[in-house]
Amino acid sequence: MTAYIVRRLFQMLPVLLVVTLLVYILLGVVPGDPLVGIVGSEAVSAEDRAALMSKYGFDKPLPVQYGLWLGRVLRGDLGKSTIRSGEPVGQNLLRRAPITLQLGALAFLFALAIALPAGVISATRRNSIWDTAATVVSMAGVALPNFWLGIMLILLFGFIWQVLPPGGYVSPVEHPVVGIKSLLLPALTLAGPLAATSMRQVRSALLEVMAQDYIRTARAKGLAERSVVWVHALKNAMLPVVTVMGLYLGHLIGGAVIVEQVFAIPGVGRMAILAVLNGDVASIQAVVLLVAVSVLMMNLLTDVLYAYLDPRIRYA
Amino acid sequence: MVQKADAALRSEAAEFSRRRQPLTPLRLLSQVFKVRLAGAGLVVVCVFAAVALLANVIDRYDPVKPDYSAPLARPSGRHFFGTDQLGRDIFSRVVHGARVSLGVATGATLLGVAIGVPLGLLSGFRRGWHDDVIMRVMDGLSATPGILLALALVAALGPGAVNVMVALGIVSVPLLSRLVRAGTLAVRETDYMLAATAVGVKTPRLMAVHIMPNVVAPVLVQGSLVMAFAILAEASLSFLGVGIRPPQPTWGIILADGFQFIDSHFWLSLFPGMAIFFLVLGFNFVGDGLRDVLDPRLGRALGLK
Repeated sequence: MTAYIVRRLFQMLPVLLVVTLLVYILLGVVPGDPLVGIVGSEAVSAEDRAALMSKYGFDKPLPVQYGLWLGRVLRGDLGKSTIRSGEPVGQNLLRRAPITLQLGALAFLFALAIALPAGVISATRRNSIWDTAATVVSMAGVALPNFWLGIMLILLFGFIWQVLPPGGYVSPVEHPVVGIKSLLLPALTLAGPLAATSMRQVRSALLEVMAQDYIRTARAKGLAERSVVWVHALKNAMLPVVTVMGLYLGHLIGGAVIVEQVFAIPGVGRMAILAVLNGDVASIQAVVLLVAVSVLMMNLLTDVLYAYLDPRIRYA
Repeated sequence: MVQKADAALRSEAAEFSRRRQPLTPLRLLSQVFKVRLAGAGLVVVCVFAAVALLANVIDRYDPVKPDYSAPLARPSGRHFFGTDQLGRDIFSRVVHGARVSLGVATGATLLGVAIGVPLGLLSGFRRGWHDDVIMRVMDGLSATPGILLALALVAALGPGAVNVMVALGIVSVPLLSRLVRAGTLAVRETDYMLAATAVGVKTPRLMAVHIMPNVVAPVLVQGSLVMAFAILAEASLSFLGVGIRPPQPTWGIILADGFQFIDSHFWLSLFPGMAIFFLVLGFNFVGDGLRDVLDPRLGRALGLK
């Protein structure tokens, strides 16, 4: 297993390199003053300017510049923001990342909590009214625009029933009850598409597994139907579900960009939008890099989990 | 990731031929249901396309010009969907929004196909370093979630309908090229390709006549799903204020306007959202239906669903 993980980590390196190259070319070579991404919005005198230009290598050829930039990024220096009066991008990112992480984790839990039971009910009571209802809801869930779902939830829970705050963020660490309440609606919004897709996966995977011989054996030896479904069938049925949920984690982060904006949550997604609106190149680069690295790591985690669930993959 | 897709493709193909079951009435019914959904999806898409083409005929008011005499009106016979804070008729704005939405999505999809298909063909047919370089770049591009990549691209290109279109087109390239690559790889080693090469068929003709027919079906399926993605993404970017700029009426912008008044005037947000929802649903149904009809194994094997 360790060998497998190490091999996968090495396979990740060229992709990571490509990501940094893309990020650099896309955003680093945009027309404009390159120093802006270094000093932020501070005023710089002409002499300092020349000194800084040579210090950061902006007078050198582009491949060298890329190398220097990569070196700075690897040492954790992500440059300075043009907004917030030149705060280091890294600091801003570190402050915001936990918020997005909380949101994403809660959304993931919601998605699982919806998809598993709904998928199991759909599969075990195939063609029943519950199955049809779940199918319709999941089809709708995939097509619903994330932000619109958020707006409608705000309308219902925030204004009509007034049970949850319509937006804003309170840290659940400092104020557990208020904090969790402030994350419920955004997490539910974010969970929607993921829940819809994985529910379908649970259903079809479970249906396939339930038709196999060992399930018949389990029933024949007199096991309760509940333990046949939830213990014997579900572990094997989880294989494709894990794959899809792993692939979807990226979408979850992408969705966070929008959901954070709708609910005014000061996370990484909001940072990206603020950065784009203000032409804050260093911040956009940092967010894209962070997200790409997290997605790659989560893909790896998915594959490892997959290898754990299905021993055949480890030796392929 | 690519190797995984290849392996999955091969095992799925084997499984598919093994698992082919006799057609029972129930299965037939579900087939018909699926095709029916696809038909319904096609009708929805056609209706929206007609609305987009005839926007100038259908609209009842100027979608851009403010009318300060009737701001924030409720839905009525005069204004089917009500009016926004500047008194503009939401119905007319939604109708014109269809034009922007479908236009941008169509352009993005065509661009994605125009870049992705040749890249995939080259990658799968030539193998070697072409393949390695192209596929690593695709891996890099798809490491960033679509909407965030589009956001970064728009940041680099600047706002506006054309730039949004280009950005969404680029975002859709990795999936399309992988799909074409897989299809190319699948036929590359077949006997008929060997025979064609043996009788001296040149590479361009090999690609056009012998490989292309094998990748048209999955590209068609993926194309309709790319349309759905592009519609959602364009609306999202415009909603966030980084895509198409006001006063151009797009569904995302109408929603962003309406969102300010969500506590008192919910219908401002209701109708543009429903427009997005139904159009995306329509394209999803068409894509799923096409997949079932054309090639049931390819899309599932690549985990595109």
